[in-house]
Amino acid sequence: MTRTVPYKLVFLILLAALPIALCVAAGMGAYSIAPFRIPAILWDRIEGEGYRVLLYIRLPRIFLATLVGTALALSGAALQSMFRNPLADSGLIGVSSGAALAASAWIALAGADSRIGLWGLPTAAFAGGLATVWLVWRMARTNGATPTATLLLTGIALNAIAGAGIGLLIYCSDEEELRGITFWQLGGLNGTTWPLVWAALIPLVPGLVLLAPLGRALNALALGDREAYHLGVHVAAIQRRIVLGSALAVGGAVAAAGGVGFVGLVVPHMFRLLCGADNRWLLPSTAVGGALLLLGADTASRTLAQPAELPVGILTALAGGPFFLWLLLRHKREAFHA
Amino acid sequence: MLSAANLGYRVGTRWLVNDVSLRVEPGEFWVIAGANGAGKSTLLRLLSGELAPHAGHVELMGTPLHAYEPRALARVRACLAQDLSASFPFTAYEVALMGRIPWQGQWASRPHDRFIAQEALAEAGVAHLETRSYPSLSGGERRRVDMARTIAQEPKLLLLDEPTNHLDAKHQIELMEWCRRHTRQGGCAVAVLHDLNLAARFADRLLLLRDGCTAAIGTPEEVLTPENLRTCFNLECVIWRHPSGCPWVVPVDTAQTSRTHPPVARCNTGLQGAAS
Repeated sequence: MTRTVPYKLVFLILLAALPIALCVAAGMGAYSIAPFRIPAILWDRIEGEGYRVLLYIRLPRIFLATLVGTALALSGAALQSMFRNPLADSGLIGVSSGAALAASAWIALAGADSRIGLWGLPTAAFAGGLATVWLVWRMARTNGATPTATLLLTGIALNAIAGAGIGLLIYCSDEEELRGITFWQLGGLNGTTWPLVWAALIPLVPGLVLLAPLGRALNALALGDREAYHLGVHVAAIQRRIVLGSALAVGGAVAAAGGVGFVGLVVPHMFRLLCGADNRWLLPSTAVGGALLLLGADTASRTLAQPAELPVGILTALAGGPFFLWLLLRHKREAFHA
Repeated sequence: MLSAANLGYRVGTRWLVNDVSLRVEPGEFWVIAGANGAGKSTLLRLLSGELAPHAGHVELMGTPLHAYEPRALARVRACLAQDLSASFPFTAYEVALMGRIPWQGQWASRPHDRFIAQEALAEAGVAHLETRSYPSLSGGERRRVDMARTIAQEPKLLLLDEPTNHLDAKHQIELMEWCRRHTRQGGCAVAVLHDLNLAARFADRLLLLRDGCTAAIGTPEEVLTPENLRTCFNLECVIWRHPSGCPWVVPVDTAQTSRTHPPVARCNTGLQGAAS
């Protein structure tokens, strides 16, 4: 078979690329620093402009980009396996749309730039995301179990309702609010400070910890809920864990970075097309891959149009989309010849 | 090994399975047969622990089924369900290796597990498909990969839901022979089958269901009578003999039409083993 690249190889390449990407990203910007000097600057705490730029401007943002990318990609991978649907992502359990609705409401009612808005907006987005997931979960529950298909449909229905709510808010808002809502939905990490990073870590870390060790159970779930049970997987418990983990991770990510789309959908796919579907490798690899994609996209977003910033959501789609298409076409060609 | 007493399962007020009892001893191969919607699959799902019965109870090796942890249960019983598909490009080997999930820790697979998965693929006759993507396989090939996964699980109790679907004639026989081998080695198997002749040839015990109730239970010889087949399937049949000596069911006509015509069975009474 020409299709597959060994799992381990791709994972190790991704892992090796991460520190390099971190250094390159930290070096790029209005104040340029040579990437290979960065470890030395940080290690020796060479006081000066470079150190201050790194520590107070670049690092929190890079750190957050990495985390957000990881959270989005990992929960995307887990949800796709749970729903046995390659098109699933965090949107399907309502976390993204709920967060978007709450954030839009906040912008429309309180204003994005008000003093309280600095913390209020992420908090509102996080609460909105979690509340929607809870609602989806409760409504999909039937007779003590949560059939995956019902969960999917409930999620889609609530997504539509949230979409209508956002539309209504857009219709009612003035120019400035409209701008705020639109830009929030496109996502962005500008103005990231350490306190914001620490705050984002509170939901992100438990979310990632819940999701990361599920490889084997997700493999079984990909065959079907019944088959997973026959293989000894406690389906209901794993399902709860995936939904809770994704809600926390994506809720945190969306609260911190706005509506960055595409990462959760496309990164797990890239890995599957390259290597295969084994979730024991897929989860760690997509975690690193998502970090790399968002790091790259965020770096591009703040350097391409200096001193202005491009919304990062545009760039994740722009960078990932064509690559994804290329992989898909390659895969299709091979499947056809096979 | 597996015993079910007065099992009942209902949806709303309709009982899909009603007062069914069976006792599967080690070394026995049971087949559940019956018309569409007779409750065969539901009964199998009750026996697998997947559904909890509304009446009666199931015991596996002396322990009530509901007292098992899913993982502990998966080390004892394996299921081969109908028509599986995976939407993700797992290889056949990876699917077979999933059979080891109840035996493994969280991450790494031990060389022993990998070896068992390979062996299982070979036993199911699909070693050559090892690196092929599971979703790209044909229905019959997928079925045999699933069989390999079930073998890799090393169960004592084997539950199969229409396992011969999609399989060609040779592989049907091979699968049934594998089930019989499994039972001869001290395990036991319960299969839902539509093919009464396969059931007659391989089953030790046959359970015929009708509207969720036991219509007949016993050896294929006892169960496969024209009367039973008429009540369960609404079908006129004659019973001939397979070369191996077991009963051979030959459907002749549906029961409605045969009421107006004399049953063909009576014309064949001169033939060996024809219906009495």
